[in-house]
Amino acid sequence: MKNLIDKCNRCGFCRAVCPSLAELGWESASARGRIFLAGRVLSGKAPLTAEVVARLDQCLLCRNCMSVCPVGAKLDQIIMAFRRLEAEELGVAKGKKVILGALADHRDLLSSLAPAASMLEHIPFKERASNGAVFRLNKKARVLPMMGGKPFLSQVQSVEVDNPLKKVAFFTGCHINFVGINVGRSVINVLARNGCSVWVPSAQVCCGVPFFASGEIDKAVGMVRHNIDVLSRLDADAIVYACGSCGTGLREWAGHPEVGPEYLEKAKGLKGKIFEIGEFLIDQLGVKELPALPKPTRITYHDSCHLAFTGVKEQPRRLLKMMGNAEYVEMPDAATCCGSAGLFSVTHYPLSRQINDKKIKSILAVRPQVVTSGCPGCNLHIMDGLNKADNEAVVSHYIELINNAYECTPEAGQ
Amino acid sequence: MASKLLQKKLSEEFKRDQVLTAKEELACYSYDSGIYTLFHYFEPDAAVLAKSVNDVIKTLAIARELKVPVVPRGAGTGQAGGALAPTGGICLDLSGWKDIEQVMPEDYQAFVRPGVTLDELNKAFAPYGLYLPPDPSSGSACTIGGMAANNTAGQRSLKYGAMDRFVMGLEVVLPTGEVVTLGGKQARVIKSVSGLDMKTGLFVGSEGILGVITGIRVKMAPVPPARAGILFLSADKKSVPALIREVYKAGVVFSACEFVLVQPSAEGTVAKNLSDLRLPSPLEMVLLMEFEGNLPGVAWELNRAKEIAASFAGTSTVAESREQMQRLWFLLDEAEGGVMGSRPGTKRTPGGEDIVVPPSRLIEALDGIQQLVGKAGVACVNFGHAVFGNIHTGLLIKPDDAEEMKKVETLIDGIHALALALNGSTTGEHGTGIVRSPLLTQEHGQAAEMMRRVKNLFDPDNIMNPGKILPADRR
Repeated sequence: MKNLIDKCNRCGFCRAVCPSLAELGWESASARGRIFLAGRVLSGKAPLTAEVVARLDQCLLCRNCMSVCPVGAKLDQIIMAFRRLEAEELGVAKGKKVILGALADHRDLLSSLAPAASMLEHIPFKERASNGAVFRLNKKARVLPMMGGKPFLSQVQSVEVDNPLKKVAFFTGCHINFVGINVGRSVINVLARNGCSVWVPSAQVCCGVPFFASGEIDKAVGMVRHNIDVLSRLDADAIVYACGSCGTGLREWAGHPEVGPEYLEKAKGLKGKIFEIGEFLIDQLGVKELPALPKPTRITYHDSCHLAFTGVKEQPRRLLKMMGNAEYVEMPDAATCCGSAGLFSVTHYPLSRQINDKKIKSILAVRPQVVTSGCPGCNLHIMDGLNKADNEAVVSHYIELINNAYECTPEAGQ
Repeated sequence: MASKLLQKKLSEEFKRDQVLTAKEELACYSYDSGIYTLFHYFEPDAAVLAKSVNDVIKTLAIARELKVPVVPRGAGTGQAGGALAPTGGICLDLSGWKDIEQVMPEDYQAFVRPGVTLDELNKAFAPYGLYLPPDPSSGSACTIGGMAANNTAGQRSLKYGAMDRFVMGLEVVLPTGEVVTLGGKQARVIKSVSGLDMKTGLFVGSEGILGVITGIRVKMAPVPPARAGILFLSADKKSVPALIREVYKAGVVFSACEFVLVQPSAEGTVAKNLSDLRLPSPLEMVLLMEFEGNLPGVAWELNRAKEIAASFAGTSTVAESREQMQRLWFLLDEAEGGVMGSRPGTKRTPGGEDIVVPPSRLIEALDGIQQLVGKAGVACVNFGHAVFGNIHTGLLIKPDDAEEMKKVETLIDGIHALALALNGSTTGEHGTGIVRSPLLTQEHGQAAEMMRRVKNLFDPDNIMNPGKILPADRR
């Protein structure tokens, strides 16, 4: 850890891209400030106090600073190590604990309650035409996702096509599994329409990213190992995901030192097989044309930080532009963070809203009918921002929009 | 006690999120990007996030009343300790004051507040094909206020000049609380010799010791349409100054002329990083010559430089466009990275990092630095702006080794002394700050005393950034 911290030269390049620094303005909200504070605590020069924790918890782990760091400082690993210490010494924040518990220890319970919840949620919540749900008694309260009934993993097992071009396993991630079911269906549909057989390995678990981010490293490591075991047993040509953050979990976190050399070695077998859905369609299947949307639609695309960090930027845009009737408009600053950052928006809602306000301004500047991204979490937060701005633009995963185009187009031979 | 009173007074005057007094916040104002904070830990007693002239006036009033220092700070990207608070007081963080108040493309000007970054300013002027040429290589972070206060130059300053060529007017708040506009109170001109030039003659490069820069009127320049260059790998570093001279004399004005010294111990690692290129033997120096301007002019300059370089011992790689130039800059970085590989497991830290010598004595200075570095038992990477003889030294050191760090302090003194012995200067563009203030009299003699008198004139209570430029020992 000391080596990671000492790497930082305090050049300040990270200041330009930190979403929380842009709002808060004080130096402790910069990546180098966080590294400096973490370094003082981890080297014993300053005590671990709630005050220090409060500063480091303002990090969204968006990794934008890592993209511009000239010496390759790994802020994410430093923050995670610090949050582990924080979790051990001071405990995990309540809101986070409930959600993490549901995704790990009580996952089966959550799965069996989901169908009932999806019926009962209509009592307090009203589904919005443009996605998400608002509280009936306060329509300006935070937009929440609707449960999708039975979790995706227990709904869909596989779709077979004749003479498949590729056999693809779909890693859903928790959001798609529990609340983003239409995204999951869209992935499967679009893949099948492009000649792939798809199946959803039911033994998969959370990618581990929210647990790493909360300092629950032991649980995260267990999940990464479990998924490596599950995925490396598959006879698949490719493993596809549709959530930027899950992608980092699948692609990178086998490299966490505590996952261990045995699993790192095992994960090497998966290297070159794991793709984001748009990346897979463009780079692997060489998709050159897509059907048209039913009517002219003005579309924009927001870069999820984690997706962009893994280099997926152009592929979703190319796909969106391929559809007939799609009028693609690039929003200003498409690559700046939307402020969601998963559980960050639960524990730091006001700050995450402040960051999101800027994103909403960028979106509104290009007056889209549909806002897309490759991250269900970003989408939810953008929905919330648009709702607060009284804007009815639809927010969807870009793959859902592509699936819409397919659904309005009869399959060949029909 | 004094700091408690200061914190109380500031808290009464400012909104809660504008005054920082918590230890955790103040710790983050204890560093800049230089070496000084590896040796020392200084904390201000409070930080104020100023976003208006009134904020600055209020801060200075409290500082005056309590006789505490005020340390203006931009993004804290400096390397000379100019934005540190060695004697406590108030750190005046101006980085959040980001208004580009006037965009005047037809008059090639902007009026901005100090926290605007170079990239933000250039982005606002991109639609008009204009930009601010001084480029300290940290444009995404460094602020225009900081650039003015330090008279930033950077790699393209031979052709375009440093900030003093671009600051046309300043708004400053003096420690007495007066707000003064320099460069003509209503002027929107890009040329004027009216009156004493206090804006660039005094305030640009004053590192916050005379007052606080709260507004900057800068001249913007057209973005040159073409760029080209040569990466020359020299087999004989001693001949490099002559090569530069010949190219310069032939009528070529470099937009950049950068070198990386390849000492024998680093030749292997540099060669590895540049393995795609035809390498001379030995490889002693990497030189990047860049030309900017209109297309035919740049093509002529490139050709001329190519012809001249052919008669020197070494190999050339040519770039004919902006895109190709990116590769040459990347390769120059790779050469630097290669030299860093000559002492693995160390931290690269700027130290004695900005000396300038007469251009003809560049190699002599580099040899001198290598000797001093060898004597200290460490290693370094030397690069910089060849045509000026401006050498940036990145020391490859082990900050945890106390013995080594003692030697490093002596080494830094040695590098600065070497610069003066060679009729040079201790700093070409990074500033005097806290790091080089003890050498002020040695470098400037009687003129140092004049500087002190100027400081006293503006700041009789010595509250503005004390200890910077002028050593702290006496007033």
